Amino acid sequence: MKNVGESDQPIPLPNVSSSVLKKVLEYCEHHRGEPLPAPDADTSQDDTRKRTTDISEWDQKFITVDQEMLFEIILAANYLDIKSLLDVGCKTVANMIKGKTPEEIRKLFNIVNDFTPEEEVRLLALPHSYHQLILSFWHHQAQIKKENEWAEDR
Amino acid sequence: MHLLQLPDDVLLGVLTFLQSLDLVQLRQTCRQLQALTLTRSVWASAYRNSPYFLPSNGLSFLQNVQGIERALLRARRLDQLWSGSPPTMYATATTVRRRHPVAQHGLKLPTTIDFKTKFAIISRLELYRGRLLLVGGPLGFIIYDLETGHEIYEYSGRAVDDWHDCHLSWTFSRSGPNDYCGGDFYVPFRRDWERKESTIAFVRITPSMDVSIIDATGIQVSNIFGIEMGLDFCIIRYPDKFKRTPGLRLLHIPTLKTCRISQSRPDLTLNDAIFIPGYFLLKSTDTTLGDYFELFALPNRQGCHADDNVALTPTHVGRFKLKRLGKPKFLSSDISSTRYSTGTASLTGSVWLLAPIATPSVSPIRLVLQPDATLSLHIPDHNSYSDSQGLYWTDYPKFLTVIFPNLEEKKAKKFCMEDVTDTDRVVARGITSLLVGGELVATLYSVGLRAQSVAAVDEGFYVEVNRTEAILPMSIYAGASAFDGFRGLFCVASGRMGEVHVVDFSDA
Repeated sequence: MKNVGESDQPIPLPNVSSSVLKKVLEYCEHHRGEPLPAPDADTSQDDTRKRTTDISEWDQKFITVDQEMLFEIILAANYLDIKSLLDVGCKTVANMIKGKTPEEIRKLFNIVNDFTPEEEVRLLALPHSYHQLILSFWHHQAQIKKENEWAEDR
Repeated sequence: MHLLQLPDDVLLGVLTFLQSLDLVQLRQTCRQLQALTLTRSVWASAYRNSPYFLPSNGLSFLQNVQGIERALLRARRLDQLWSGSPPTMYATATTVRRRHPVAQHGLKLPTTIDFKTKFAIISRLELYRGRLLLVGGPLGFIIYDLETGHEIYEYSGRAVDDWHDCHLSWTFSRSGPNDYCGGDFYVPFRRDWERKESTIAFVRITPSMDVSIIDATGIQVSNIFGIEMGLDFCIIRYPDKFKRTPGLRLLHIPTLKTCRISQSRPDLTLNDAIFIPGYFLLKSTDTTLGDYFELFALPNRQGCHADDNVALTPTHVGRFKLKRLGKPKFLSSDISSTRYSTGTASLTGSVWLLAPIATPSVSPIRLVLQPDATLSLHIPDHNSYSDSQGLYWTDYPKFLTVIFPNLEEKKAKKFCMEDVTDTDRVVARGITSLLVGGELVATLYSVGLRAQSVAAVDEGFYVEVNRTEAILPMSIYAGASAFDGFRGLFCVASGRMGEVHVVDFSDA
């Protein structure tokens, strides 16, 4: 947004419907004047930051919408690069997923189970047997390990 | 509009707010989400978001998604163990709780043991055979029998260095490799502290918990530090101004007989002594020529003498130039004696050791006895463990315990001074072991303190032992703590209030 903010040119929003835009503007209006996250903060520090799913009371109320609208808002926030709103949306979806079984998640989001029965059995058997995992872990270690460089006197 | 119609980077953004169990559930819903849950960044963020105690540098050595997942699920499971009543690690109560099946080892351990230590500062803790607990204070030590909860021996010295800085190698006799309960157990300490010459004494504890003191009267040692012990023997160094020639002696503790050790070069500096059944290996360093391994045959009791006439000479000598070879520990050996028609006996076979080499890695090394009385060194490159900064070791019958303090040395010292309720502090790592179908399977723990609870997480640890793939036990050290690799006991002391807590991970 900041690149186009000073321009008089209209911003094309082909993917954002007017009702969604209204919601987004409502969010921006409420959070106006709040400091923006420092540039690149989300890319450089994201990896070390602890992410909580806590949402402020106003945001919580704001985001209490039907799924259709929620996803549209997320999409719009992503498209318009409003990081804080995108986070609120993602947190909301994450909170919807939390503590649910696969079947409940499918039902909630209307997801079609496209696993074959055999695959499903295999998935249920997770986590893999402990020993297998260690084997694979060390197999991987062995692959990346260089040739023995210590017995240099031999 | 559908959840799965969101672009993948947005969905990944959603996933980074989830924790391990939710990710596991989510990937069972459909293929698209399953593919997304295999992204490393998702699990890396689940690792960081997790409420469990995980080493802060853990991600750097958890190579793949499965490794992170396993660590997290394990941490969660262990965390739940304490969800009912978390163990109070640093409160005033001194309660020892333990739950594990010990029937197969012939020991019966009560579920709860209460005991108090009189030391305000606990400088050392040692667990042995899951039964003996040594609590060391600045001026002495107390040995407890965890089976009864009673104090079985107390030693009060008068100087700090009387005992607690000496290399406390616990040794056991007459025990076969599978006999965990047999054998004697010795703790060395310094006697006659007020005299200039220090003599050495040993506390001896038999399997039936009889305690006796073995006083090595007349056997003076130059210092008590770095005494190497193993089986029933220990290696001592006579002081320079002694009436007999200075140098290394092999002392048979029960009989107090000694043998002079004649090394292949006179100016070698002894680093380590490794006792293996029937033999012992000395690892020495020559400043210019590098490391020496010398194999000696252990004399029988009659072979030891009270005078210096008998000298032990090495049967095999190997000289190796290795970069920073750390203190090696014995894994196994298959030495056999072949008698040729000429009447000379020849030893063949090999010895497996585990040693930190050129930190930060630890690797099994194999010494092969060559017919020309030399030793050759082999280091398989595929099974070293790469996170071994500041290794500590303890020995158990058959099993070996490797200690990886997770903190840097400065931090470890600092730890005792700081507020112990400080969160996000991994105290130590440990490994427990069990035999599964002839294999040693071990669990490596990272143990940390978090608001009066303890959580642990495991990673794999793999070492080849005698051509059998095996995972070795590992132990922990931080401030004063001890880890019993055999039974999976974890014992930690506050270091301030004289409290000792034994936490049992064996059925975790």
